[in-house]
Amino acid sequence: MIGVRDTRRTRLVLFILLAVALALIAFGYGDGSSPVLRGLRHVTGSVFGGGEHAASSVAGFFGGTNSSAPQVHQLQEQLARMRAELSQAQLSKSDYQQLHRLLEVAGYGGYRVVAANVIAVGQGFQQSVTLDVGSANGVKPDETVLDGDGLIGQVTAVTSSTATVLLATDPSSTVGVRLAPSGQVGWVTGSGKNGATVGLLHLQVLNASAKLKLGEPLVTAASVNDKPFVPGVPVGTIAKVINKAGSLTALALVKPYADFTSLGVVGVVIAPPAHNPRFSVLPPIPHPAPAVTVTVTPSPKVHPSPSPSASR
Amino acid sequence: MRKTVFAVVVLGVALAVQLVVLNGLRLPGGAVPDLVLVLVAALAMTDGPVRGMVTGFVAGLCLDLAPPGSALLGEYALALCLVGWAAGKLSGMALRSAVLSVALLAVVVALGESLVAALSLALDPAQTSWSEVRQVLPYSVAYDLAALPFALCVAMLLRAWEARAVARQTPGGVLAGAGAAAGHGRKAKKYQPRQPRLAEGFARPHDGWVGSRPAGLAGAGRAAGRAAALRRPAAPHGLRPANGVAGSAVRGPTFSPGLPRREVNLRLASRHRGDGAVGSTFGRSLGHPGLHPGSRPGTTRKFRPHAGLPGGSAAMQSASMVQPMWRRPVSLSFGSRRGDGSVGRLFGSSLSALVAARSRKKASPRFRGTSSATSPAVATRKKAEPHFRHASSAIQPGLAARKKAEPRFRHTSSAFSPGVAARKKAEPRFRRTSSAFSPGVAARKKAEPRFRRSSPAFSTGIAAGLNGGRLADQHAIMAARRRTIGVPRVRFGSRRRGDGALGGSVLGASGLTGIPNGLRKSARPASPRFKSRSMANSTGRQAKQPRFGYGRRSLLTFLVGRRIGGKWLATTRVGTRSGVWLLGKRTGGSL
Repeated sequence: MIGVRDTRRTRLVLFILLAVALALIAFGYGDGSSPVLRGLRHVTGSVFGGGEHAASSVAGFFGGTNSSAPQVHQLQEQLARMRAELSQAQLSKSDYQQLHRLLEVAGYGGYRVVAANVIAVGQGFQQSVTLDVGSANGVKPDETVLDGDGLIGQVTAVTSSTATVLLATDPSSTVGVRLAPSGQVGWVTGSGKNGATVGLLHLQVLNASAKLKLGEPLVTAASVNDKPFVPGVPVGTIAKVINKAGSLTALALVKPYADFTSLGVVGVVIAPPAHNPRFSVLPPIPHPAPAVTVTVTPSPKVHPSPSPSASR
Repeated sequence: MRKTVFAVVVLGVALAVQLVVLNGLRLPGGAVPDLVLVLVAALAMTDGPVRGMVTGFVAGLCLDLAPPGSALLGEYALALCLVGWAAGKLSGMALRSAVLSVALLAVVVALGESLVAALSLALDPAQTSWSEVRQVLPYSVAYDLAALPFALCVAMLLRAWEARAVARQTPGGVLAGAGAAAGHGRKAKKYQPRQPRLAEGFARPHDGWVGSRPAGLAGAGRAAGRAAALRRPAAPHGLRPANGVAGSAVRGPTFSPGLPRREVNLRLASRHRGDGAVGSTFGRSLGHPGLHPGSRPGTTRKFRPHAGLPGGSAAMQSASMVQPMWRRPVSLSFGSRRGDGSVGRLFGSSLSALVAARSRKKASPRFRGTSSATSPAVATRKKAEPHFRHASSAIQPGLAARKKAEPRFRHTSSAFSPGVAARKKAEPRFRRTSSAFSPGVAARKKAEPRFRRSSPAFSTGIAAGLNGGRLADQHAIMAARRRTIGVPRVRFGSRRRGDGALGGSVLGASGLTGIPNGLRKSARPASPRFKSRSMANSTGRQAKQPRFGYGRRSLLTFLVGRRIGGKWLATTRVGTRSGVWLLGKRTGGSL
């Protein structure tokens, strides 16, 4: 036998702890939305959230300072002062681009967003992150989260200073979508950390006979009352069409626009578009999507401008 | 306490790093190292199962609750609790084979990671799929194992740091008290109410390392233990000066180590009065089996440590037992008997220092003249003054002799510890003291096997010596080092037990039949050991033992074979035994 015998006390403690853990699990399993649990999570969440705030700023500090000149230090202090003046969040230079694009997308879609930083990433198989905004910033559960590229996920829980986001890549996440040109309705689910399809979303289109084309863009379809998803948020493009005979739905793999492996600045949509053209009229829906992709895809048009710079 | 704080800090940092940095990493295989799990395992292995599982539970709960959180509260708490428990069970193993225990720890970590995955799979099927687990698990185990050495490192550093801090805090044995008297009043005050604590401090310096070692040993491994063993003899030497001059101990060791012969002489010379009285008393007490010095009226909890006295006497005994290895047996036994006297002094001073640590009031003018370190202590007690006077007489023979020499001496010698004579409630106190005095017995259960391994004579000698007089301690150690077989190892073992052994060996050695009840009870955890030896006299305890053990049975039995009665149990077979058999065995047939 390994080591020592358990004493009575050891066993007692072990059983008590196991019983408590199991009770907690059972309690959460039976009634996940009980106010007690939610309250507990809320309280502890704000406590741990504060720690995570601090830790992420420390981590950001270490991540950002690879050079060690005193001037750099000075500049950083300056930068920190200026950052503090920003009302929304402390945004580093590297985040600026992302914020810019986010605001662009938000502007196109007419979303009111709260910008946020990802400060912590979920443990284990769950695909979730924590943002540094919370109910104090007007964020509520079941709101859409996007970044400058596209859909990120939905807010599942908030504390006063943090919000937990279930990523679209989580297997338990399901997002209703429309295919941009055709208006076909379907949904995408995440594939988790699953081998071959890691990072891709599974698309199922209700119309089994729909013709899915590679590269076809997807946007979110509106949820009831725009919760949890507001309409028109670009999701991704079809990367692979799966032909499965006898399937009730048309299947495809979707490559999301957003890069889930390096999340930086994201936005929480705190108010859906004022008027909702995306919902009834199809053509406008793709608006945000082309608006984002336009800068990339229409390379022929853009070509002239790079060429002078190249010649220069 | 200190260690708890460290563990909390370390785990908090680990939690933050895990959530903020590690989980965001994109490593091949899609997995990340589970730092918290690994740290829990490492800390548990240095701390033992109870602390381990509490640590695991708390860390797991934090992981469940910290903002992204797990889907179900309690998932990680459950998994890490089990990991902590399993890893804690390896803590005894670390003493035997570092390689094996680390290998087993790796297995525990791998199992823990699998458990996490299994729980997630079972409780949250929407989020986790089997194929996902299959793909990710090997990588996460691999990353965990890569992180394991670092975590072990942290745990051991923490351990060592803590041990050092403790050593620093209690500069020298009893002298912890003396130090307090000298000016570390705050610390002394802090520990004042907690008798066991004080006793622990007391024991620790005596065996110096040994007291704190057992805990530290688990983490620090054999090498550290060895180093400690090599260093150890210095401590008694250093403390020795306290023998001669009350209060000198406060100032710390000044004598250079390694002069045993002169030491003896010196002691003899200085002893004068004290020696005679003490020696005779002890002789007497040993001669009368029914009369344990500690059970005499007047033995108090506070002075129990001066059960060190019995220890000293035992040391004498054991010295005679190990005589062959001494160069000069006669002088030695003399020395030790004298030694008792010297111990008495030592104790006198240390005692008073202890007392001073506990109740610090102003020194009575009377004793101020005698010795600076002693007198305040002496003065603090009002009721016990006469005793203290005795104490002072023990410490400063000349003083005592000047006054009424005869009766006092007798008092001194009989109680040996000052203030003893007046105390009447011997029994209950004794019980408490003994438990307090030998923290090892009460709190440390792990070391049993080791004790078993050491040779009885050796262990008695050392244990008694250590706990009793430094004198004996030093000689015993030196003798042991001179002659022996795996010295540091064995010594360690016996030491640790040592506290426990002290009770047993002293009694056993002196052939006392009237073992105080309290002692018997307090010795409970260690009883198997005692049973075979000195505690054989005490009946009625044996039957209980099997009930608490499920020793060699598997975890499965442990979970399954509990008190679930009925047919099912009868038909359930565990190994070659039926469940009923097991149950019967466990309850000693009382079911």
